[in-house]
Amino acid sequence: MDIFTLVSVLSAIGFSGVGSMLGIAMTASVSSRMVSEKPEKFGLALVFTVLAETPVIYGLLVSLFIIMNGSSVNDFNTSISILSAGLSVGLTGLFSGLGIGIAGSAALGAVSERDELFGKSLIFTVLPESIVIYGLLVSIVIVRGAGLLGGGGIHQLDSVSAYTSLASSAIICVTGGSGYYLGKTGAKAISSLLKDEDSFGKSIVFVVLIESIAIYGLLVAILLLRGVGML
Amino acid sequence: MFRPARMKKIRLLLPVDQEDRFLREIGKLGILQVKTVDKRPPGFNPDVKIDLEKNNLLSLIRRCDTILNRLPKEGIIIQLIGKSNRIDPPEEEEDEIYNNAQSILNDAENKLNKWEKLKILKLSTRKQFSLRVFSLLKNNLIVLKSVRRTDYLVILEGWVKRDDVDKLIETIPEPVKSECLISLEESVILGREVLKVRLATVVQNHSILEKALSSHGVASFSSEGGEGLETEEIEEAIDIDSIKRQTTLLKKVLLKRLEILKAKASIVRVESSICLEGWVKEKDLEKLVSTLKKSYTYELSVEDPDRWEEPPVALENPPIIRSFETITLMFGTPGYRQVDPTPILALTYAIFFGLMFADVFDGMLLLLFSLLLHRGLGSRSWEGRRLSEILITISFSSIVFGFITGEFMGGAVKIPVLWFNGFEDPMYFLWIAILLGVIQLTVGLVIGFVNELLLKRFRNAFEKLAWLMLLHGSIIVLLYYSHYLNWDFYLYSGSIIAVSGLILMAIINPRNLMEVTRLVSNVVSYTRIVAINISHAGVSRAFWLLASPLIYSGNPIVGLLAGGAILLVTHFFIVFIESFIAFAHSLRLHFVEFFSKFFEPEGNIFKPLSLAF
Repeated sequence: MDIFTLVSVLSAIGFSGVGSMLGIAMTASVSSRMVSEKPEKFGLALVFTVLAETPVIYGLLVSLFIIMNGSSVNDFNTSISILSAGLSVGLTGLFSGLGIGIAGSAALGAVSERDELFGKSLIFTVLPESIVIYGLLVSIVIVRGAGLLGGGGIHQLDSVSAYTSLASSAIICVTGGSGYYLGKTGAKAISSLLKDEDSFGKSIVFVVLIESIAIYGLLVAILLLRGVGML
Repeated sequence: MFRPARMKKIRLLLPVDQEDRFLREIGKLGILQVKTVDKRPPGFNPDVKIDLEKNNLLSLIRRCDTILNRLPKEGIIIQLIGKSNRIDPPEEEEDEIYNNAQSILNDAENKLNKWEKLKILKLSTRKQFSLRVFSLLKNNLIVLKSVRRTDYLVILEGWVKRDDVDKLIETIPEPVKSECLISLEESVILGREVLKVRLATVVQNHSILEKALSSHGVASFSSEGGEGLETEEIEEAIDIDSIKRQTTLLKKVLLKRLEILKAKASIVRVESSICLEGWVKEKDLEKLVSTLKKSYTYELSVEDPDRWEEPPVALENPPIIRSFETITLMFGTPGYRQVDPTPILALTYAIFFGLMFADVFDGMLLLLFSLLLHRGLGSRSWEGRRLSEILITISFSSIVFGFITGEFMGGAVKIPVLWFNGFEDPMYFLWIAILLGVIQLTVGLVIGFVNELLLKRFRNAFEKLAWLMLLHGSIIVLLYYSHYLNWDFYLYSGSIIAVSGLILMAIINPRNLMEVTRLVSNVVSYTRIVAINISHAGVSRAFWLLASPLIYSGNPIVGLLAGGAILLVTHFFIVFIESFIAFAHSLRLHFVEFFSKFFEPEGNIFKPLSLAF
């Protein structure tokens, strides 16, 4: 396993781990305070706290793909592609974890006052998670293109495929920054639910506008990867 | 199905003495929503005293809630899967319970105060108390707590060791024994070894009895142990279950009265009769009429809702998909004249969840958990029942898609792939997901088109048509450039359809052009189905890799047991985390992508007068 592959594993689990850690820290601190006042809300608190753990699960998954099949990679271009895969899920996981943490804390506040806001708050909390899902999708396409997934052995990629993977990864990571702002706007939308529950349908339109940026990033990344035959 | 239930507007005149009986009877049926009277008959006015009575009821309900919140809660596992013991007040006792409301609440509050005081007493105090009694009993036959005297009787209370009971009886001299009553009880704090004893005899025997006992050792319990005594007495006197039962019964009685009162607030009256207006489902009209015919003097008129009126919305779906109405209503209530998307939502929700969480074993685990939830949470609340029903349906879907994609415990059990495996062929799955997205968006836009036609908003209907043309025209062009369609006709026809859609959109509302990219993002968003499926399958495979060396270690007992335990624990984790992710993202695809194409949550849900809690 060469240095790029190792850095890829480090990025996948490390960055997403930091995102999850921060997210869990934010929600867990609110949860523990809430549960000390209202012990019956333990289940609800657990749901929102656990949600921030998903980015690291996706990071772990891509790390495992790379560890299990990437030991025999010694080609520079393939290594660069694998590095891109690790970065994609890692950095998007970081932004996602932060966003989930921010929105999740607000959701816990809302649910502690009114149980019936659970479903609507949940939607705003899972919106930042979409970002790491897009990162995971790009990672899967790259990892499969490099032959680490789906059998058939490691592929020897050309330099165009390698740099395209890196570019795709950069695109999804940069647009994935929207995960943080999705969390912030989601938190505001959740607090507006407390004032007017019927504002849900309209609020979600505004919040999703931010997510569109990451979706455009995903679209461009997928088109780029398709252009070099990795999809 | 697909449309809310048709409503009828009724107007009813009844003698005032039949009002309560009618509201109770109709409340049991749950078919009538009482509304504010539009055209008040001359002389008819609302009852002004109702607000006062309502405030009184609300304050009693708040007191019930406070008491119930102070009572110890059941554990979370019991709440989720333990069947609840539902208690309903017997109809004939309702008035009695209501009349005694104040005394029931006062009694419960007093008992709770004492009980809470007991809780505050530290365990060390209780321990000190028992240690003290035990040490005194070591050297004495009896420990006396109190000696009470009346004009004729003397009562000695205290503790005795279980083994010394016979000795105590023997100690009492024969002439006193025949005039002495002895009662023995188990002590809550001191355990089985020590019994509480009460000796009652006539005053004349007191000195003889005291003498006899002191020859075998009598110790008196000093006031230092007062707290301990109090603890014991309180613990024995307070029955928490009975407080809970009585308060719950009272709360139900109060809630029923509050519902009736709310209905009465909309009714107008003169001295001898009342006039009420309300909404009833067309199919329930017959039930209402037959109830009235049985024992009421009435005058009923029935009308269709006016065009300008927005009657309440009652969604009507077959039992198998009824639980999915909760998801629709979570977003909002569709208008009375709009399409109810629940049947489509039930189908697509199950498909999306099944695809994201495709695994036969995990589906079975989820099904088991859902059935337990249905037994527990489902018996406690209406929402819990609906949620568990949704989980049961989607866990079946997960099992079905597990078979279709050949997923069983992440490859631990090999089963044939009936169609495709998302983990092995993610690219094919990606196209399937996008296709599903296009189908759902098309259905959403078609529903939007139909809704606008039903509301006679033709301009908006053309807008939906324009979006449909743009979506499908673009897809035809995309398929041509992806070499799935090779005939130039497709390129030209697709371009013409898409551009016509754009022009139509620009004519109707140029602002729509800014939202064209949202359509693209909506389609791409469905690729999350692939990512979540692969993540689920990937995590399952990773856990199987962890457990398989143990299972194949050659040691049939330790290896199989340890490997099996690892698999079971890890799959419990997967079911908890991954099913939740799949559930939330299926919800998101429906709320953000699907509903945004047609859903205008402008309806009011039908809330009939119902006395079932």
